[in-house]
Amino acid sequence: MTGVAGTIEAEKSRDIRKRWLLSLPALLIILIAATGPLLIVLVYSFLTPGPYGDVQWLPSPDGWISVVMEKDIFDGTFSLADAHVSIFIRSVVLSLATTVLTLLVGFPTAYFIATRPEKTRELWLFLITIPFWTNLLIRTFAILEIIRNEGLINGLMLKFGLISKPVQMLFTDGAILTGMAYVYLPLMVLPLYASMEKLDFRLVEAGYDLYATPFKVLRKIIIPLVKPGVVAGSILVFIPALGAYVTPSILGGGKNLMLGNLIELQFGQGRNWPLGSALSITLMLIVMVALLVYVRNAGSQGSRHG
Amino acid sequence: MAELNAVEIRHVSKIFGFGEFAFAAVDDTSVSIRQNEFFTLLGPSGCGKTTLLRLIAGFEYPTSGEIMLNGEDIAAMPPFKRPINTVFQSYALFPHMTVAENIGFGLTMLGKPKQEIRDRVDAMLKLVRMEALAGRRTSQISGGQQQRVALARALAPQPKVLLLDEPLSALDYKLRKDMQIELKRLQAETGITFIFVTHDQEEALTMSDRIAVMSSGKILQVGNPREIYDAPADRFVADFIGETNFLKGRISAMNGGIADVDTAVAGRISATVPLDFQASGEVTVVLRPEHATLCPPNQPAACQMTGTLENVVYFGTDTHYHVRLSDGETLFTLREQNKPLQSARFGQGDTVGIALEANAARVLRN
Amino acid sequence: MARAFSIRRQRGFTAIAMTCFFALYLPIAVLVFYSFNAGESLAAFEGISLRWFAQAFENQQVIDASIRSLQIASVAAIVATIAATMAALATTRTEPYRGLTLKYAFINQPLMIPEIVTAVALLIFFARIKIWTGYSGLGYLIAAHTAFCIPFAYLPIRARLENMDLTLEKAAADLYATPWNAFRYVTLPLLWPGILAGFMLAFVISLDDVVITEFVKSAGQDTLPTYMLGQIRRTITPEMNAISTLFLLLSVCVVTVFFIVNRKRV
Repeated sequence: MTGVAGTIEAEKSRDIRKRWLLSLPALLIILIAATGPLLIVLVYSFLTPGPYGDVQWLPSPDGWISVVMEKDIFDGTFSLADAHVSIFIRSVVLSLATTVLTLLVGFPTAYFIATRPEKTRELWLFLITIPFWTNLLIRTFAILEIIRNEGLINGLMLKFGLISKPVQMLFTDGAILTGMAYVYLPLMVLPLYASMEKLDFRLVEAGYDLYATPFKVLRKIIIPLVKPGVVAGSILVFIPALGAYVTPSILGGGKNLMLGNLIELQFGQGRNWPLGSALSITLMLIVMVALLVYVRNAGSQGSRHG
Repeated sequence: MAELNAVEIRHVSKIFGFGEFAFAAVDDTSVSIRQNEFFTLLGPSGCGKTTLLRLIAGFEYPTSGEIMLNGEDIAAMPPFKRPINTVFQSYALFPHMTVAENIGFGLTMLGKPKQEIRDRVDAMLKLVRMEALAGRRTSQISGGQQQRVALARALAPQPKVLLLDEPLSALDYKLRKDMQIELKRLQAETGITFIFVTHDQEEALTMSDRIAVMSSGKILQVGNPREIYDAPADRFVADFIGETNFLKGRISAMNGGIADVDTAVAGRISATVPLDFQASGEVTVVLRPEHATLCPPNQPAACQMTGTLENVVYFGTDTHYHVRLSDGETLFTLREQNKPLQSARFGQGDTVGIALEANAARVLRN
Repeated sequence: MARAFSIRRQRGFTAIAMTCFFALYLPIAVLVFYSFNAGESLAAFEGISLRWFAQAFENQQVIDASIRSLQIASVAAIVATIAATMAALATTRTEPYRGLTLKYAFINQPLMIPEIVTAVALLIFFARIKIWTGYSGLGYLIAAHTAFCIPFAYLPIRARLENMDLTLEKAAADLYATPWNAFRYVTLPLLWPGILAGFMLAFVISLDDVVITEFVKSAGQDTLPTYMLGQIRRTITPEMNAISTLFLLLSVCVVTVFFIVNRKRV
C-alpha cells in the first residue's frame, strides 16, 4: 500500500469514527428512553404479578398463556379467553376498516390536491396539514361533541322532530371507527399526495391517447403508479390505529375495548403487569408483521421501477 | 534554466470499487502542464477527464502516482490547502450569499484583511464586468452572470492553477461563444495556468494552447490544436476530433516521409507517414472531408475515386456529401464550402468522382 | 355547452375531496364555536361570551399543566433537535458504512413501535429507577419526550441535508475553507431552515403527547393533554372547549410558521 492510499484509509476510518461520535447522543437517548426498556417488557412478560401491581421475580408462563387463554380458578384448566380474543378481533377489524375508509376518502382528496394549480395546491395542502399537527385528543374531543347524546347530530335531529329521543352513537364500535378515521385521515392523505405529486401526467395523456376511458386511466395507470403511496399511507394509518388508546377510550367507553385499552387495564385496575407486558409484545409483533409486508412491497416496487 | 512545470502528473491511477468491480477511471497517466498555458483535457464522457481534474483539485486522492504542483507533491494534500481553485460545472455558487460575498469567500477563509478583500472583490467584479450586481443574491442573476461570478470567485484568491470543469456546457450557443472569448481574455490578463475540461472538440480547438485527448482513463495524445487535428496519433483521436474518412491499403513504396499506398477503392494514393513510425504492409489512411472535392465522373484524370452520391446535407456554411464508393461498402464523406447563389452541382443518385487535394492523406499509426 | 375535457379530472373526486375537507373542519369549528357559549350546556347555544376562557385562565390546574407542558416541550424539543441534527450529519451524504442501517433503524424506531408499547415499557423502567434513586421529578417525562421527538426532528433535517448540493461544500473546501469553516459558513446556514422545521415538529409532537405522558407521569405531573383527558372522562363543560380552542390556536401558529420556513427555498 502506498503512502497516499494509507492516508486515505486512515482518513476514512477517522471519518467513520467521527460519524459514530456525532450520532451517539441520539442513539443513547433512544436506547435509554425508548428501545432499551422494550427488553424489560419482554422480561416482565415471563414473571409473576405482584399483589399491588409490579411483579414478583418468579418466572411464570401465565402472562403469555393469559393472552388468549383463561385459567379456571377452581380446577386450573385452561379455556379460550373469549374476552381477549374478541378484543383482538375488534382491534384488527376496526383498524382495517379505518384503513379502508381513510383510503376511500383520502385517495380522491389527495388526487384533488395534486391536480390543483401550483398556487392553490399549497393552500389545500396546508388545510390537510393543520389537523395533522393539532392534538389528537382535541380532535377526538371534537368528534365526541358531535355524536354525544347531547351533541350536534342528536340535538339537530331532536329539534327537527326526526327522532323523539337521542340515538345512542357514543360508546359503539361505529363511534370508534368514525373517530379513528377522522383523526388518522391526514396520515393517509399526506403520503398519497407525496406520490401523486410526482405523477407524470404525460402518462395519463398517453393513456387517453390510446383510447382509455377516465375510469380505465385511473385503474390501469394512476393507481399502479401511486401504489407506493397507497401502501405507505395504509401502514401509517394501520399501525397507530391498532395500538390506539386515546380515541377508543374516549369514544368506546369502558366496554368497547381495543388492544391499547386492554394493555392499559393490566397496568391499572387489572394489576397484571406480566399479562400487560405479554399483550404489548403481541401487539408489537403484529405491527412488525405489517411492517415486513410493507418493506417487501416497497422493495418489489423499487426493483420493478428501476 | 528550464522552467518548472505548473502541474505534473506522474503515473497517476484512480481505481474505484474493489475486486471484480474495480474500475480504473484514470489509468497510469502521466502529463506535464506548463506555466501559464491554456491546457485542455478533451474526451467523451466517462473517459476520466473529470476524475483527473478532481484529483488535481484534491476532491479525490489517487490510488497511486504523484501529482506535482510547481515541483511539490500535493497528491495527499486536502483541497483547502492547495493553491488551486475550481470553476464547477454547476457553478456551485453559495445560494445564501451575495455575489460579492461569493467572490470574497476564498480570501475570507484565508484570513486576509477586510480592506484587501474589499479591494480584490471590486477588482474581480470589474474584471468580469459585474460591478452593478455585487449586492444581488446568486439566485437572482442569469446563467451567464452566474458563470462570471463563479470565474471571479475562483480567480479572486489568485490561484497558481485554475481548473474549469465543463464550465460552458450549461450556456446556450451564443453565450458560449462569448464566454469562450472571455475566458481567453481572462487567461491572458491574469497569466494563470488554466486546465479546462470539455467534451466539445470545437471548444478545445479554438481555445487551447495544448490539448490532451483522453479515452478510457488514458491520455492518447498531447499537442497543440493543429497537431491534434492534422496529425492525429491514432484512430480514436482521428475519429473523435472532426470527421474523418478511413481507407484501408497496403504500402508499396516509401520515399522519405511519403508512402505510396495501394487502396482497393482509390487506387494508389500518396500519404504522409508520421515521423517516428516505421510503416509497412497493411495500413489505414485518413482523409479529412474538407480535403476532397466532387468532380464529374467522366474526367478520370482528375478523380481518384468514383461512387454514388447517397445523401446531400446542407449546413449553411457548407454542404456535406456522402458517397458510396465503388466497392459498395465504404461511405466517404466530403465537404464543400457553399458559394453565393450556387445551386448543388450534383444530386442524390448521381454517379460522381472524388478528387483529393495534394498532401491530404495521412498514414495512421495502428 | 359540454364541459371541456380535462385529463386531470376524475369524476366525483372533487365532490369527495370537498366533503372530506368539510368533514375535517366541521367538528373543529363546532368545538371552537361552543367555546364562546354563554350557557353551561353543549347542546344549546345561549349567546356569545368569553366566560369559559376567563374560567380557564383562573383555573390553577390548567395554568400549572400548561406551564409544565411548555417546559417539557421546550427542553425536549431543543435537546432532540440538537441530537437529531448531529445524527443527520452523521448518517447522510456518505457511502454506506458498517452500522449505518442500524442507525437508521434505531433513530426511526420510536415511529415503528405503537406508542402504547413504548409507554408501558417506560412505565416499568422508570418505576424501577424511581425506586432506586428516589428521584421523581420532570426528568423522566423530559427524557421520554426527547426520545420520541428525535425521529420527528430528524426527518426534515435529513431531508434538507440530502437535497443539499454536495458541490457547495466542495467549493468551500476549494476556496480554502477548513472542514469546520465549510460547516460553519456553508452547511449550517443552508441547513438552518431544516433545523428550525425539525424543532417545531418536535415541539408540537411533545406538546400533543398523551399516551406516553399518561403512563410516565408521577402524581401531580399532569400536562395539559393528560389534564384534558382526565376532564373529558369526567364532566365536560365549555371550559374544555375554551382550552381546546387556545391549544388549537397555538398549533395553527406553529404549523403556519413551519409552512413558511419550509417553503422558503434558498
